Amino acid sequence: MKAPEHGIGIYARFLLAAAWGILCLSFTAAPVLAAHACNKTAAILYLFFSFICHQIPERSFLVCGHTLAVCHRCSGIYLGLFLAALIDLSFIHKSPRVRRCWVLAATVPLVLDALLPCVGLWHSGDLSRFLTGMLFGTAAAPLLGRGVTELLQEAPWRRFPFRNLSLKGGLS
Amino acid sequence: MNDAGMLKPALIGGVLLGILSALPVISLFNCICCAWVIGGGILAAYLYVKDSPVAVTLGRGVALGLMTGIIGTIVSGLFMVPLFMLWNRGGVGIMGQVREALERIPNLPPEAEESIRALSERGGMDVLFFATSLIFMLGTYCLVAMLGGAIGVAIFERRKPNSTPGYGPPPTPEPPVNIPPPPPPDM
Repeated sequence: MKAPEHGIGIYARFLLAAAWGILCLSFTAAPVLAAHACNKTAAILYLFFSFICHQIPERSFLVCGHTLAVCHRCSGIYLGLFLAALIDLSFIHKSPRVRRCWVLAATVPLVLDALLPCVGLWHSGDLSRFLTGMLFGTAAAPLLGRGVTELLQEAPWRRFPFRNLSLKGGLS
Repeated sequence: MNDAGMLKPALIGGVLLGILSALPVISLFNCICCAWVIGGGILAAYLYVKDSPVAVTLGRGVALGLMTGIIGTIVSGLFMVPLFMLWNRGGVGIMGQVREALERIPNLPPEAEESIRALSERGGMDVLFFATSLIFMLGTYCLVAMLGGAIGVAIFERRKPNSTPGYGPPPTPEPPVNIPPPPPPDM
């Protein structure tokens, strides 16, 4: 299962890093723009991120006097996904068992940190929410990286019939 | 399992995530790390792994997640149109919803709110806003559902892939079966 990383693997990782990086930049840009009176853009960014995050002020980091457009946990997840996409963590693909343990080990703290406060067994703080989110993001990034690499190698779109279509006839 | 076999699980996951993400109160569950979207991807991966005779690769999981995200966005969009029409009939409209959403956003400077309000009073903004949110949804849903698909395969696939294309050493050729044993060497 383990294989040396080659061109497509690096390309896929950096493609994903760019995607997560843009997401991280967007949610960080919202408070910075709001502080610098670029209100329309800031409001649009806050509005779009409200679809995917609760944006509770007590659960979001403050930047330039305004909250980030996502909460502690979401910022941890996206930052983890971005940072882990930049480094090679291919050792987790040694076997399906290692991969499963890796995913579960990163998911369980996140779920416990989110659910245990509901039953009063644990009090989640800013740091625990951010760190469990970041752990989950870091664990999920190599899965997505390997998945996108395999998808690009397999290139299922090459099998679609429209590749064989060509325009027939012409003006001349 | 071939590509056609991916359509059914992707449809089930996508339709479910699309409906749940469009319904007014239930969609708030997406605020917990896009729970419906990740869940849709994981469900699609589970259904695919369950019926697949061979080990499913992460690449397949990601492709499945991508399909689930696209289907989910289309279904969500289709569900949102009648909902917005209902709201329009009730006199609220899409921009009314936007204004309500703006009021819920914490620490938003009053100038920002005011500029969005001014923008919302222009004609044709409903359609533009709807189209922009669909594009944003498509990007986010696809990315997160791909993550869900990969996580689903990582959790539910317990078989070792025999030969993932492009990975690992090339498969060793199996020895032919019906070959008579070699004659004993002459002493």
